[in-house]
Amino acid sequence: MAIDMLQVVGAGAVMAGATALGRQQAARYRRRPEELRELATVLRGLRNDISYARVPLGESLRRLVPRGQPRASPVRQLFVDVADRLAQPGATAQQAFTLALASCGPALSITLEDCAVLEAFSLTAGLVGPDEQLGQLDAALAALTEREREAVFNRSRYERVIQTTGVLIGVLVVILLI
Amino acid sequence: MRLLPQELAEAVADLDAAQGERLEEVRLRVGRPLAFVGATARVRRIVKVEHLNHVLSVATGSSLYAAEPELRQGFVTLPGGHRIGVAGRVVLDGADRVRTIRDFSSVAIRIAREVSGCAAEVAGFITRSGGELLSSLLVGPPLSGKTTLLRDLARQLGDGTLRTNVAARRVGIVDERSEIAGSFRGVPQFDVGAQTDVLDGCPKVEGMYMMLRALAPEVIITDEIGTAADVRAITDAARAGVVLISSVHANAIDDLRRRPVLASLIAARAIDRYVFLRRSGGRALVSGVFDADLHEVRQAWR
Repeated sequence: MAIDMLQVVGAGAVMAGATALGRQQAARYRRRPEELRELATVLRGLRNDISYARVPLGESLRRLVPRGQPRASPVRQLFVDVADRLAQPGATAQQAFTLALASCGPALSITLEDCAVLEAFSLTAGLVGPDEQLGQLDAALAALTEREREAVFNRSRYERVIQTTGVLIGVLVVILLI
Repeated sequence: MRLLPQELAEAVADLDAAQGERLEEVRLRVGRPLAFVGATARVRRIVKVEHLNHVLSVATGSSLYAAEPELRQGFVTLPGGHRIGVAGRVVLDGADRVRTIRDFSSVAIRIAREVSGCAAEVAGFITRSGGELLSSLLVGPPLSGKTTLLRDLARQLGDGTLRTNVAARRVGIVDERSEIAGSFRGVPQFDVGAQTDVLDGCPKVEGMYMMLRALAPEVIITDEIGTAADVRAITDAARAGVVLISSVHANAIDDLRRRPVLASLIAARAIDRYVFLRRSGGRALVSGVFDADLHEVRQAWR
C-alpha cells in the first residue's frame, strides 16, 4: 500500500493537532494550582485590608491588583475586571464577580467548582459586618487551599498522562485513517 | 436613581418633574410598598429583602464592613450629602452599646438639598443692629428644615453674606451625623462657607471642645442637642465667647420647659434666641422667636 504525499501531510496535521490539544489540556492541569494560589493571595490581601483598615472592597482590589500591568496573569485580570465593574454606578459585588467570571473565565485554568468558591464569597461580599466578612474570607481561603491541594495531586497524576494521551490519540487516528 | 434595583428605580423614574423636585425621602420597608416622603405619588411595588441588600451594597461600595462606625449611629452617608437611615436587628456588644445593625428591615433614603439663601428668613432675628451675632437654637419637629437652615447659616456666616453688617466669621461645624456638611470620606459635599471647618462624624461634646482647643472658631454649629453633656459643652462654649447655633426637636416653648435637659439650658442663659420653625410649602418658615427669658421677639432687625 503506497502512502502518497497528501496522506503524509494529513497524518502530520492530525498528529500536530492531537498533540497540541493534549498539551493544552495538560497546561490547564499545570496552571490550575498556580491560579488557585494566586486567587488565595489576593483574597488574603483583601482579608488584611478589611481586618486592619476596613478598606472598601473596590479600593482594596485596585491596590492589590493595579491596572495596566503588562502580561498580567488571567487571575489578576479577573480581579482588575471585578474592580472596574465595582466602580460602575449601581454595581454590587455579586454582579461584579458574576460578570467578571463570565468574561474572564475562558482564559482561566481553574474549574467551575473553583469559580463557585469565588461566587459563594461574592454572595455576602460587602453585605455583612467586618467579623462576618472576615469569616467568609477565611471560609473561601480554606476552600481554595483544599482545592489547591487537590489540583497539585491532579497535576502530578494527570499532566503527563493527558499530554501523552494527546499524542496517542493522534497516532490512533492516523492508523485508522491510513 | 442608581441606588435602587431596576424594578424600584422604574417606579421612581415614573414620578413627574414636579413630584421629583418635592421628593425628600424614599422609604423601603420589607413586605410593604415602596413609599415616598415629599411626593404624593403612590406605587404598588412591594419591597423585598434583596432590594434592601442591593441599596446598602451600592451605597457602601459593597463594603458594609467599612461603614460600621456610621451604622452604629443608624445611617450611611453617600456622596452628594445624601444619607440612608437603616433599621433592623441591632447587635450589642458586651457593654450593651450598639455594635452594628444587621438583618435590615427598613431603609430611608434621605435626599439632601441645599436651599441657598434660606438663612435670610432668620438673619434678622439672630443678629443685633450692630452686627452682633446671637447664640441661637432652632426648634422644630423632624423635617421642619432645621438642618437645611443650619447649613445655609454656616455658609453665609463663613462667606460673610448673612447681612451687610455681619462680617465673615470663622465657623466650626461639629457634624456628628454628617448631616449638616454632608461629608463623604471627610470632605463636605455641600457649600458650608469659605471660613468653615468641619469635624465630621465627631461626637458633639468632644467635637465642641476639640474645636475650642484647636481651631479657635467664632461660631460653633452643631445639630440636635439633647443630653446634659451637650448642654454643659454649650454653656462652656458660651463662656469662652463663642456664638453657638444648634437645633433641637420640639414643637412648642412648653416642650423646652418640660424637658429637664433643655430647661437647664434655658436656666444657664447660654442661648439668646429660640427660633421656632414650621414647614410650609416645602420650606422652613419662622413661626416664633423667643429671647433668653423666653419672651417673644416680634421685631426682626432689618
